[in-house]
Amino acid sequence: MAHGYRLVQWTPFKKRYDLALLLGVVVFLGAYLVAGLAFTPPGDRPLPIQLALRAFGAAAFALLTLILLIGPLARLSPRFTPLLYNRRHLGVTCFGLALAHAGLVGLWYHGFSDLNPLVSLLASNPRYSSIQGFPFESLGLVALLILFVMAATSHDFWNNVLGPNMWKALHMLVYWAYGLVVVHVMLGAVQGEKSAVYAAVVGVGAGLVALVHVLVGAREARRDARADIAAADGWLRVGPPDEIADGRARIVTPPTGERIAVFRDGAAIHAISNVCRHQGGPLGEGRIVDGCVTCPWHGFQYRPQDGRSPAPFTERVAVYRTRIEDGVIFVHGEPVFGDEDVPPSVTAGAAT
Amino acid sequence: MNRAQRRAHARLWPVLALLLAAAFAGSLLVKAGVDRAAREAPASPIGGG
Amino acid sequence: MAERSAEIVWLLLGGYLAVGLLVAGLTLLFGLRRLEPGASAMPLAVRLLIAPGLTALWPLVLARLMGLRAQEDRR
Repeated sequence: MAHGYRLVQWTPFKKRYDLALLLGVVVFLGAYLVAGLAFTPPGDRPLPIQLALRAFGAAAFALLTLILLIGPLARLSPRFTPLLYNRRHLGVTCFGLALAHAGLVGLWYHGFSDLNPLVSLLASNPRYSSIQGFPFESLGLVALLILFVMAATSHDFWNNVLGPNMWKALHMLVYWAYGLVVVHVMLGAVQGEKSAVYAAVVGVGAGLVALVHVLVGAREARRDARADIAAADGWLRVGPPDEIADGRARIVTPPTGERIAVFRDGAAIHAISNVCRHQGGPLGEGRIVDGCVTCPWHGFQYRPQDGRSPAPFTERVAVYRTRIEDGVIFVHGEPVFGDEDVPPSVTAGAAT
Repeated sequence: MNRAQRRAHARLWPVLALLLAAAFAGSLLVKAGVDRAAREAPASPIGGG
Repeated sequence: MAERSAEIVWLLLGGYLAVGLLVAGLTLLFGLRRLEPGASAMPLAVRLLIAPGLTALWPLVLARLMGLRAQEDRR
């Protein structure tokens, strides 16, 4: 929202979310330390600092896995959508955990050599040409840099400065960071482990992330490919008004362009772009609140007749013309960006 | 997400999933080889070829 | 990686971030309104929060300051 920047736009929900996050991290770290001490024979027991740096690394990996699962899961079921609202706080926390891990690694493994610890990190394990003994530290370092850029640009200020498309493209680097982290763990910690627990946990986590992304990606692509058929004059059939719940929408896919959300507000039928200007949230999965279409992700609002956010906000999305014929709604696939309102179609059976 | 972003996701993830699977399997193979060499090393001082 | 190349990597990274710090400082002092009109009365805490991003993405920030913007964001 391009109005009045604050550190965090706190809401009671965000406070509960962050409290749960903090508790989760503390419990994870504690459980890791206890398990690390309980399940290793006294002779093999790592030093506290080694255990701590591994705990931070494991927590960062677990949190990153969770973060990546949220997006596609929210596509599969709206029950997961609340986890999306505040996902950037998860991301910043994940960077913090990864940074703590890296800091302890630098201190413990490289801080005592005559070399500068930063130089030692890249130079102490110089077999870049072999897999066994590959300096997995550099992979983790690149992932950490990506997480840093993402954490540093997670404020809405950056969404406005970069524009939502470039912001999203930048933040899609997280997938490559995740790949680097998986290889970092597999070539690092897992190589030194006697038990297969580490490899199994990494395999299950990464496998799950890859699986849901491939499944959901294919499903969405199929849906885009099987667009609703438009008549020669560009009108798409939506369906009878009473099939849309009051204040809710049905989403239609035109052959080209963005998906369209067709809302019913009492007897009035409005059509608006399905893509929120903020982060591309699915407007058609939101509802009408105080006469405005409200995004299910972060609550951005748009007037359904002209697609503009109510003052003082300045965001704007496309709207579409609608008509009702023989009790069936039609929407025109061509977006309208004019200065005049697009009047709603009114259902004949009104006030249902 | 808009159409371009959905397409980018749908194209990226099959490739990334394959890369992840290959890296995972590769690192397990390397580990198995190293572990075997470590077990056999005391028996044959020349090295577990 | 030999020590020499490791040093060069860190030197390049450090140089990049040094230029970034300069750009970030100047932007926070003088260029914020030009970068994002809604940010003219930004509280100090938020300025500090966005400083790392300005440092890391300084080439993009310079491009934005010079008025370059993607076509689709210019509605």
